[in-house]
Parts: sequence; structure tokens; C-alpha cells
Amino acid sequence: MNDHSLTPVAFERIIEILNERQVKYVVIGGLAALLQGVALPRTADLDVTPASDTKNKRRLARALRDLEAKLRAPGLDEAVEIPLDERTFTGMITMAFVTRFGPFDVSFAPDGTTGFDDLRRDARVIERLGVKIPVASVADIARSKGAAGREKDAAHLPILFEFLERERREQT
Amino acid sequence: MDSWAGHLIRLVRLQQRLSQRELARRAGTSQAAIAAYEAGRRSPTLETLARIVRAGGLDLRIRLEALDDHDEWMSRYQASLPRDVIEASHKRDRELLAAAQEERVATVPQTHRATRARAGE
Repeated sequence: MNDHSLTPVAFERIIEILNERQVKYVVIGGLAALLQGVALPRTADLDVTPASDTKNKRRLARALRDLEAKLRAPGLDEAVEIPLDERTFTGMITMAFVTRFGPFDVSFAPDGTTGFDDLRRDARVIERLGVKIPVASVADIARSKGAAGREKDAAHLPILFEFLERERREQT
Repeated sequence: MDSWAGHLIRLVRLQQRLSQRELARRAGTSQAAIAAYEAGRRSPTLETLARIVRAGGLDLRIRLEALDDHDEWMSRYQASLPRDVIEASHKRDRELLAAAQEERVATVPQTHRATRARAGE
């Protein structure tokens, strides 16, 4: 499929590089849910929402260069090399990359949210596999999946909702 | 079996805290029909689904979006990985999930755990 297709899927190495490059971001999606104890079926990609200021975009671009990231464009099987700097993200809401540690998706404004500042409010930092991982709250993950309205989200939402309900009961 | 409609009906019940029987009563159908939809054994028509959702106090809205082939691409990507890589990745996910769940159990307030223990949960 592409040069990176036979590399191990190691999201923690991507996180490590984002942290080294001091990128401000929150992990979203299935991995964020899994790290908080929600058993969502998930694909092997890492989804993050980075802050959208220019300085952060510059840091993100550096991290992507470290990761030897290539852009995966809709409709194309092969990922393509593109210049990676802060201008890469101009006018973009979501971008899908393939890196030497697996697929890595960037969404500046996931469905139902206004982006990093919105998700950061209730995010928490979890330490796993030797790295600190900022993750969106389960409630925010559910909010975003509810807004996205895709078929797979309809399957995930009851699981997320039951988790939140159980958590609510435990806290009262 | 999984069905999109079944997941939506289940979500309506969870959000509105309704039993299958109560949702069926409100929608003018049987509990068995709701159970079959949720289990994916039967598929409601779009009109029936909209009626059930409305009976639960919510609206079904549908919109058309540009095609997004991300999930199909991910499936092909995962299929291209060696089996041991996929197995290692699944194993690690299971371990991460177990670690998170153990952490949650450890942080559940003592009083609630005592209540659950008494209730035989």
C-alpha cells in the first residue's frame, strides 16, 4: 500500500514525538476511549486534535517531519509526500497521514466540537507505555460521535452512553 | 448481527431511559419487535425507524455528506499488516483496556463499592 505499511503500529512512539516537539494536542476517538476503560472496537490509527495557533502548527509540522509522515488523500491508496510546515494546515479541518509508526489523523475541529480549547477543558492526562497522553473526556468523545452520525458511531454510542451512565451512578 | 437502525433504537432507549416494553408501547409496536430490531434480526423501514425514534421523544435527521473512504482505507491498511503485528496490537489494546478498568475500580468510592457488593453486583 505504501512505504510504511509494514512498520509496527506504535501510537506511543507518535505521542512521544508530539511530546518531544511540545505540540499542544488532545487524543480523541477510539484510543482515547480505550485508555479510559471503554471497550470500543477501534482501528489502528491515532486521532488527535491539535491547537490551531501558528506556533503549534509549526511544532506539529516538525513532529510530522520526524515521523516521516505522508499525506493520505481521499480516493488514493498511496500516501504522498508533501511539504510539511505550518502552511500545510491552512484551511484544513482534517488530514490523514501515514507515518513510520502507523496511521495518524489530525482533526482541528472534530464534529460537534470547536476544537482543541473545547476539548482541553475536560481532558485528562494518562500515563501509559512510558508516555504522558492527554485524552479527551469520554463525554466529549460521545458528543463528537453523536454529531458525526456515521454508521460506526451509531454502534459506538450505546457503549459510550452506558459507560457514562455507570460512571454517573458510581459518583452519586 | 449488527444493524445501524438497531443501534439507534438502543441509543434512544438509553438516552431516554426507556425499557423495550415502554418504547414499544409508545411506538405502537411489540417489545419483541424492538428486541429484534436492536439485535439486528430484523430491519425496520426508514419510516418505522423514524416513528420509533419520535415515540422515544427524539427526532431522526438524515443528511448527505461527501464520501469519506477513511474507514475502508484503514481496513485495507490493517489487512496489509503482518498477522503478528495485528495480534500484538490487539494484545496491547486489551492490556491498556484492562489497566484502565483496574484503575477505575480502584477509584470507585468505597461506599458505592459496598453498596454494589451488598446488591451482589
